[in-house]
Amino acid sequence: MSDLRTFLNDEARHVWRPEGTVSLVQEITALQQALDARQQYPVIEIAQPQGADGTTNPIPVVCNLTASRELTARALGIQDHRDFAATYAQRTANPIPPISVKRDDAPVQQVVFQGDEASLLDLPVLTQHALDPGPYLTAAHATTYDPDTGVDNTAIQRCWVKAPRRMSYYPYPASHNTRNLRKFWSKGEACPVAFWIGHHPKVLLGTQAKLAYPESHWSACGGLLGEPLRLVPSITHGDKIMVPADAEIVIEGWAPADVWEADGPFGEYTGYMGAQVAAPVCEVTCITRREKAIYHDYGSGHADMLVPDNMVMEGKIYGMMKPIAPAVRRVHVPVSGRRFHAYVSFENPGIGEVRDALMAALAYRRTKAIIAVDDDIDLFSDSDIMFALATRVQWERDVITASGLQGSLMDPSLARGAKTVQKAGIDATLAPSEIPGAPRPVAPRNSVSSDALDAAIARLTGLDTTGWPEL
Amino acid sequence: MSDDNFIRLRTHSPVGEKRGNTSWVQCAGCEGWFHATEDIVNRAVVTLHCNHCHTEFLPADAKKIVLA
Repeated sequence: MSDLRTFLNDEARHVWRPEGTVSLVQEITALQQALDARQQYPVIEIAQPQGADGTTNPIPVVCNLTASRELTARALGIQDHRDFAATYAQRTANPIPPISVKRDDAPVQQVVFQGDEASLLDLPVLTQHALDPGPYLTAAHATTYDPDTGVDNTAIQRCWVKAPRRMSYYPYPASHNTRNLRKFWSKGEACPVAFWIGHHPKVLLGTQAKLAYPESHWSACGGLLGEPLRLVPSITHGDKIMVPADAEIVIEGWAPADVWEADGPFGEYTGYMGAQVAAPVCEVTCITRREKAIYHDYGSGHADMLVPDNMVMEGKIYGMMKPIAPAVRRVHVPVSGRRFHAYVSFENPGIGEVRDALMAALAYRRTKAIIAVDDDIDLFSDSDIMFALATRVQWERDVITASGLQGSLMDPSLARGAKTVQKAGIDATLAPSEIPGAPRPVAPRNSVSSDALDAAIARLTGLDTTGWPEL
Repeated sequence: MSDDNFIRLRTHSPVGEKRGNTSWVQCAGCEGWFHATEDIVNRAVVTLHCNHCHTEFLPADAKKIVLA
């Protein structure tokens, strides 16, 4: 069985526990920002989170859980994070159905607060950014279901805590949770919903699998777990909405029909503040949790949230390209590009193969620019990508652009009033070989012998280079 | 809100000219600015919330609205 605690135990030497109190208002997020700037990504556990009123909340906060590619890949048993895409695509394509357990075997229902006993204000909810209007749940996985089929859907949704039993939440307009919401609302009914917080990264990443509609994420979670995900009926909605039995916290409630409230501005993954929107609200009926619950927060716009989301995108893009272009080797969705850029490496692609693959992946709503390179380019080095763009691209020949496609409306560069985006696929590979056995008709790269390079590295190893000029 | 306080930026821009896409609301209370979608402004009945002073007000009561 895997849960948040087993992950924290497995990675105990990578967990940083700052001493003393740390404010929930911006201070925890500031730690993440400072660590991002240093490119260091320990898991952070705050034992004494301090609320805006100065009181210490007894529930500890964990963040940066998945800020490191290395830790996130290892959580799935993948030793080299660069191989994540192929493994994720393979495992989520082999789903394992969940199982249902009884309440007394569900740690997440050890403590149950119903009605007026339930209070969102008892949770250590962060106000992450200076311009956020209040505290937001950022790792709340909203589970709803399609009333026509009963099939559930789960997605992370930002939730603004406004009162003890009321919060707005923002399902993206094109999302499957919005479809479910609108189906209930079209019948004049409130939409049942449960938000659960805190689980093993395998489960967190399984819920982000990009699936058809309607299609449950629980089986994708099982594929990543290698065993069935344990679910328990929610207190409010019974087996209509099941929740992970080994989660930390569950918030249950209803989204009343056609009730909209202001939500945001909120610091988003783009690195910019997302605009204030009209959003549904959740009227909370029940909060359940473990006896000694841990509260999980994703640092929005930081590596903490970008890394897992982007790694899941890598799996999706790999799965879309590989059947079309067998030469695809690896995929990287870099934090530097937020969620907009993807780098893909190819091993000896045939003529036209790269462009076929680019066309396939441009249809994926989240991509904006996809850069294809040869496998001598390090996908995890933005500098290497720039080298490929500088030396292997003629813009008119090698750039495919397509307009009027679905994309992120949070892209700050979007044309005024536009509801769609322009995308680009860039073929930054070298020209392929045309005659079997002959070199590719391109210039070879500069290099030194591996012996000379090894000797140079050995000569520098251990040398005190403090104060040497940087680039 | 008077028409003078409601500004709609030009929707057309010549090819190649870059124009922003963000709509702004000026708070009826503190006069601070926050950005909001055109959708929430056009709904007219959803109360806006100033993220600076937490005043809530309808779009019609905003000090100024600039729609992009």
